Parts: sequence; structure tokens; C-alpha cells
Amino acid sequence: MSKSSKRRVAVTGVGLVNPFGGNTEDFFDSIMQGKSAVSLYRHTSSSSPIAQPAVVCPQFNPDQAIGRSLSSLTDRYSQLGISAAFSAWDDAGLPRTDAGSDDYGVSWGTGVGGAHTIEKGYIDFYEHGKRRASPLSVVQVMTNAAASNIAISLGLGGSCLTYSVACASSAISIGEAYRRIQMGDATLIVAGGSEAPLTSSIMRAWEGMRVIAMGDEETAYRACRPFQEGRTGFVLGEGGAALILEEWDHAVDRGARIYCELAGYGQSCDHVNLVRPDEKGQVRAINGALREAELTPAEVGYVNAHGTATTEGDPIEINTLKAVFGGHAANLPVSATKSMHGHLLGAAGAVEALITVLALARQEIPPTAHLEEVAADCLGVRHVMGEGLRGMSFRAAVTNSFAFGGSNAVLAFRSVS
Amino acid sequence: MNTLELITQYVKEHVDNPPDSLALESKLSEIGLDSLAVLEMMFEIEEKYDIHLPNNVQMPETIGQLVDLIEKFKPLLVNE
Repeated sequence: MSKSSKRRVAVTGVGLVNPFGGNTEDFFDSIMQGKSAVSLYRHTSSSSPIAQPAVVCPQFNPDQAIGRSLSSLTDRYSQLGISAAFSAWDDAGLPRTDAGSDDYGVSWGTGVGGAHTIEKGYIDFYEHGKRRASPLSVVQVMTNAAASNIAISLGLGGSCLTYSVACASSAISIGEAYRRIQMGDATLIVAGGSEAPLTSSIMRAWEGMRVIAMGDEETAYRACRPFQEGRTGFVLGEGGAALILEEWDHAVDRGARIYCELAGYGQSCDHVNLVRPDEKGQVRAINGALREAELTPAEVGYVNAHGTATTEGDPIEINTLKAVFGGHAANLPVSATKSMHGHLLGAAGAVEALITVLALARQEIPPTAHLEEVAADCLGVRHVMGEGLRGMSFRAAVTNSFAFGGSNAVLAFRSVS
Repeated sequence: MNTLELITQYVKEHVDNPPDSLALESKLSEIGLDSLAVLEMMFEIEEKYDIHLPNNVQMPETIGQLVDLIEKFKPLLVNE
């Protein structure tokens, strides 16, 4: 299909499970103030208790959010995802019943799937000596459970796909949904991701890689400090986020509110190392997104960085931005919001895409929280520190997702006007 | 707690808008329990009574059939 015949894609709804409580706008208001949702999380339900700074969604009530019947049959990762999808659907002005279509689909991302169900099964077997597993085990664990439950609940008969690409999973689920709408395979797709990684085994696994920022009751909230001198890594977070992506004319015809246009998607593989990122691969992904969106570097007014606060990853991303944006880099506002909502692994790309959409729509840029002294190896861009920037005027924004395995995904959004 | 009371409590805790009381002729699907939900309920009742229903049992469609199924296997266990 030639470029000129590709269909444009509008973002018409956003939704998430908010770790602060409240709605999506409340969430954005909180991160604009640099508020952190990180606290010390104690996991005590196995024989090997563990405590880490992490982000949980304590006010999330699955029975209320998605109904008792559905919550009884689903893992927490699905519950978070279905709830986020429902919020985005509502935000797009679509009624919950009889608004589905065989031209609508789901595109979802998760790194692990039903981790809580897996862990409970193993604890039942190996600690409690049980010999049978719940008949729901398979359908709760499978990585397409969230997507399928969203499709069933909303009546979406088009493609229903799940991407598992580590920490780029839901940036890729959004990008691939964009491709499907562009090519005419769907008119509307619920795109996003969800993750519930706060199980004992997953927390131990990340701790073993020595990339988790540590802290106690008093210091946990500021444990994750991207680009900061002396940074020590990220904190895990649970949650879900979704966008409603819609073919432009379809959105206009039904009078939908359009937040912005998803105008470019770049995807690449470093093909260098499983865990050490590579500048060249990241540059290819960003350039691919900018080229498709027909954006010059100077037109980009905000980059939501992958920014995991690891000693190795942050400077490579900054070098990438300097390579792509050249002379504009020094004036380019950049922030890493994982400092506040944590690292949602397979759902990180979706929550950061949502933040980027709202930043563009509101012309406000959230900060990197707890960033006080930019490390020497992270200099060269305009780091947003303290509170967020308000009253900005910019035409486009980009969000980066750089995964273990070397898979990179970049989404470029353009304002409506 | 007898079997019907146990089922009633389970339904109240696991479905939206549960009925105040369950009639034996009530269809499980009309209460909001699809086949997966029925499987899970049977599993939890098996755990509770420490029984094991055979894999080839006829899946119940009504509350009455479910009660009969559980009652049928409870005495077997007691006699073992």
C-alpha cells in the first residue's frame, strides 16, 4: 500500500488503572507535580518474604471495576487490563453494550501474563503439597487472557492479538494496532497492555539482576531516579493502560473527541546483546517513527524516555537522543516518568504512551521526579526537573520503549491542530 | 452447612447480582455461571469436602443436578 493511501489514526480514548486513585486526569495532575506512587512493598505470602520499593494500585477493586463474575475468573494482570480498557472505551464516548463491531479489535501487550496464578499454583504444589490445580489455571495464565476478555466484554470481533516483547510489549501492541488501522484491517482497536509483576518469584528474579533500586519505608518513594548521579535502577510497578485508536474519518463521523494523531511507529532490533542496549538500534527506531510521521527533529517538543535509571541504559538513551536530534537535543524536553509510576514491564509502553498523548493534548510536560543532579554521562538534553512544564507550545511528542532482547519501539504523536 | 447452602454462598461471592435464594431448577447459565465458572465451583467444593469427582461426570446444568452430583460422591468418600 502506498504511503498516500494509508489511513490516518486518531487517539480518541485513554484509560488506566491509577496507582494514586482517581481518574486519568488526576493521574496526570499528580505526575505533573512530580508525585511518586512508589512505596516499600512487602511481599509476605510465600515462605520467603521480600520487600522492595514498588508501585501497587491499592485502591483498585476488581469486583467493582470489572464485575464479580469476571474478576472471579481472571488473574490480576487481566483485571488491571480489562479495567484500563473499559476506562478508555468509556473515555472515547462508546457505550458498554451494543457498541462493538467485527471491524473493531484488541491489540495487547504483556511481558509475563498471569504471574500471580503461576506463583499460587507452585506454592500450592511445592509448599502445601496439593496435587491438583484449579481448572482456571490455563485460562488465567495465558498471555492472551486479558485481550480475549476485553474482546468478549466489549463485543470486538476483529483481530485480537497479544504481543510479548519484554518491556516494549505494549508500545509494540499500540504500534501494530496502528499498522492494522492504517492498512484498512480495522476501524477501531483497543490497544494497550497490563502487568502484575509483584509476585515473590518475579521480585526475586529482578533483584537477582541487580537492577532494582532499593529503599526503606522513608526513602522508597524516591528510589528510582533516572539520569541522576548515583542512580541505582528502577522499581517494579503493576497496572494497565489503554488507548482507543481509531481510523480518522470513523472518529470524525461519529463526533469523537480526538486527543491527537498517532503519526509514526518505528521498530528495530539492536541485534547486539540481550540486556545491553545499543545506540544504533535505538536511533533506527526513533528515525523510523519520525520519518513516517514526517516530523523534523525540531518539531518534536517532548520525549518520554524509556529511562529506567540503570547505570548502563540511561546514558545510551541520551546518546541516542543526541544523535537523532542533533543541535535541537539541548533544547528538547525529556523526562522519565518511571520515577513516579514505576516500571510496568510489558505495560510500561502503554502507560507512557498515555502520558505522552495527554502531554501533547494538554501542552504540559511531566518531570523526571527526584532528579536533582544530572549525571555527567546523561547531559545533553533539556531534563525536566522538579515540577512539570506548563503552557508549552509543541506540535509532536515521542515515547521510547527499549526492551531486553534489543527490541525497540518508538511511537510519534502529532497534535490535531 | 449443607451442599445447597455451600453452593448458595459460593454464588453470592462469585457472580454479579446473585439471586437471594437458589431454586433447584435454576439453570447455572442463567445465574451467570458459564462452563468455566461451573468447573471452578466444582473444584472449590471438591477441595472443601476433600472429594474428587471423576473426570467423566456429566456436567450439571441446574443447581439441583449440581447438588445431586456432590451428594452422590460425598457418601462414597465417607465409606472409603
